[in-house]
Amino acid sequence: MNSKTLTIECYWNLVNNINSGIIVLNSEKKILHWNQWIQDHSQFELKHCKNQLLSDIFTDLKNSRIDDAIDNALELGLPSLISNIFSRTPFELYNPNRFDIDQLDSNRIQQTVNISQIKIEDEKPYCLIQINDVTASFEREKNLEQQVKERKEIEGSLLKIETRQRAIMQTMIDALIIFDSNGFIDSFNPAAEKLFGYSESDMMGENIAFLIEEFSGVNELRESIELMFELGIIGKTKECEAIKRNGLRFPVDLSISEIALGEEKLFSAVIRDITDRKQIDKIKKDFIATVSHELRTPLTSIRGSLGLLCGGLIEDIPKKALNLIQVANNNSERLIFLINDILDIEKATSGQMTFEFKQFNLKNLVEQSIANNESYASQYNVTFQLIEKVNNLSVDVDEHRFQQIMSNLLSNAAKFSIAESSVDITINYHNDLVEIDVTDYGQGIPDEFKESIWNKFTQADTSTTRKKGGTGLGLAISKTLIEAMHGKISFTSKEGEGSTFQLRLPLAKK
Amino acid sequence: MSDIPKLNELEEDLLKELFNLGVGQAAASLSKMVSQEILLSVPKVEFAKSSAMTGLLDNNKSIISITQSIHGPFDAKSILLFPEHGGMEVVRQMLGAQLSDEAIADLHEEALSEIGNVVLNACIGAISKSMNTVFDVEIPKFNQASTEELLKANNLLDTDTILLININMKLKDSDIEGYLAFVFSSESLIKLQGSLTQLINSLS
Amino acid sequence: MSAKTLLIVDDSKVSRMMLSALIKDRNPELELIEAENADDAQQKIEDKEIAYFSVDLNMPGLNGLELIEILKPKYANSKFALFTANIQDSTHEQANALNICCVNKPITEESVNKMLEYFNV
Repeated sequence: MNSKTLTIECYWNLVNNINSGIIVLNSEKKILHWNQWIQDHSQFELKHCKNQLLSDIFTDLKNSRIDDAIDNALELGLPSLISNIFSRTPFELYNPNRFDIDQLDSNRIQQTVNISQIKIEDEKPYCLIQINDVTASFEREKNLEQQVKERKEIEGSLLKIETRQRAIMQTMIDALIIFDSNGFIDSFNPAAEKLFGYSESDMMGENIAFLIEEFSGVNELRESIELMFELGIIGKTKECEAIKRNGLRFPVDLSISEIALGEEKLFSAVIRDITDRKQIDKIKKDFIATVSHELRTPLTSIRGSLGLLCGGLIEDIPKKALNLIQVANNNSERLIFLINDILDIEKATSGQMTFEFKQFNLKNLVEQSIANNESYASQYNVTFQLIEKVNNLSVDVDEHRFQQIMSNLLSNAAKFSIAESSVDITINYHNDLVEIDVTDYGQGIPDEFKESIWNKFTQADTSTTRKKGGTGLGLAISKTLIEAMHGKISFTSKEGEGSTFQLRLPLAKK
Repeated sequence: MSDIPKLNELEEDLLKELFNLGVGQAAASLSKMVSQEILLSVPKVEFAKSSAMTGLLDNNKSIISITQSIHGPFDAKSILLFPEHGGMEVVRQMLGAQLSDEAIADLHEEALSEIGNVVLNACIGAISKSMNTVFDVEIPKFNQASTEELLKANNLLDTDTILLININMKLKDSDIEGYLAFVFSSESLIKLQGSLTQLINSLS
Repeated sequence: MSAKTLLIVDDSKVSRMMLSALIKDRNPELELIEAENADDAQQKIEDKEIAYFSVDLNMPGLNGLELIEILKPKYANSKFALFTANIQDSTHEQANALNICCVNKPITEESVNKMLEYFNV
């Protein structure tokens, strides 16, 4: 008897040290014994609970699965597994380190419970309850679930974005080709397929070089990109010649940009077929050439003849007739100027005007323009004054066109000055720009005309056109020309005090 | 012994009622666990050769089994069987649709062990009560494998006799077919038949 | 006083046998009729006066609750008891709605007595 009792003591020592809860109930469901773990996790002392009904101590157990399982074990010897999957926290047990926190249901440890029958000394059935704390793995699983959910949400968003972008690429009208830093094609949209005659699967991994005439004949594939950078294509639109699958060459606008993607370097090319536009340009060019020739030729003859008559080629022309011939001569001259101006504007705006850029000393240019316009200004008793504020300025311009602008500004200034005054031409350098200011002290420009001054065919007052002459195209042409030479034109004016027209040009690169 | 015992009408009736009782209890317990209506019924009970198990569920896929061995006046193994997708479906329905596939894969073994334990306990309990005997019951073992491996794991030869019980499980959105198999050694089989006869005699 | 009749409907022969035996034990005067499903039941009781009905829930064809729904209007003064192994809340709710008694299987002296007490016999 004694030795048996001792053995049990030994076992209880063991049991008191394990990291699980052990409860033994007798056949009346009263507490026979429990281990230290239970005490630590419940703060109930065994000595107060011995021989009490388990459900009187852990009151939540009344009519629970645990209760049924205990009955099954005692009456039928059935073992039961009760994990935290379906019954999270059947016993009122808490983390021993956190008993200061309220004993709420939400703070209970997550439990898995095993219930079975054991026989101890006599043949009577006893119920063994084993409880494990699975809070840690429960928390881990919750976190994993959360991560899975978040990952799925991110994947969902990414998929949405990708789908949308794909949709854009698929439906856009312009051809879009994406390629890597070696020119190998990553993506070829349906518009590109249609334009070039290749399918996307044909083009994957092929090099964009063989689609563009300017790149063909390139040996090292990486050279394509370098060539593009050299030609200044990246980040700009350039006219190139593209090659279709059937060998047909056709003009395109090619715009290549670098796609910022962190480490991976990708480029996107948008290609637009400009065959139509080129045809229209050609028609325009031909028209201008025709008009050029067809209108000017007879006009030149007319003016030539009238000029001769005015010059006294034929003697004995009655004075009255001579006056009429003079009028006709002046007007035919005006017509020629007008046609020239119109053709100029057309050429300049359609990009057909050819510019020959050369570097010039600015002072020399301006002095030349003054010389060109002096006799015109003398008609109005106006003199030109050059004020050089900064020396040694050079600009990159087309000489002829620059003089055309200067003539326009100087003649306007002279025309609209008061008699006997001077027109100041100031050369300066400010904020990386060369400045040429033409200032007159004449009647100034009324406020209501300031907006439309750059429009074609406007002059402040149509009567001016007849009084002062001019086609009204001058400023429009000057603006087009200066902008074509990478410069700007602006003005300030006060009615009754005068106007200053300001030309800005970049300093010539040495 | 290669003869499959044949059940007479009364014997079959009795066993069917017994297992209907058992699974009915199990259904009630399962329902309470998840606050959903779960219906379990036993359409058919018969003795068969264990090789019949291989033909029942799709041979190529895995079978999920939960086994509890019992010892007492006779020894047996009680096995709850589901085809793999059926088992997963049970877990999915009972745990709720909001759980991800990963979580279900993680938990399914523990969950099915618990569910199997409820069903097997109920059936063993029903047999115990009707025969007034208490068995020594082992804790459930979970297995997921092909039918061949299943037979091997349970030391079953093709020629062994099993009591094969067809189970139908009705959950909110699904109907799942499973099986309960009771595996008897030849001595146990004789004892079982003896007990059955006794029961029937006590009725009249 | 003519003996009252009790109808037992259950697809299990064993169950019918057990019910008969236990009822006869408690109340030998009751006349018992057995039926194995809903159709059989309706045939057997044709034009008969049945005072008490003991109906199993799970049967092939119409289940116990469906059968009771059909019979109740015709037998407004009779009492109905539903025997079932499947003791779920939904079953209890439906039984309450029909105002009948629900008895849990297994068929034992206890459960049979519960039914007979409800019938007041």
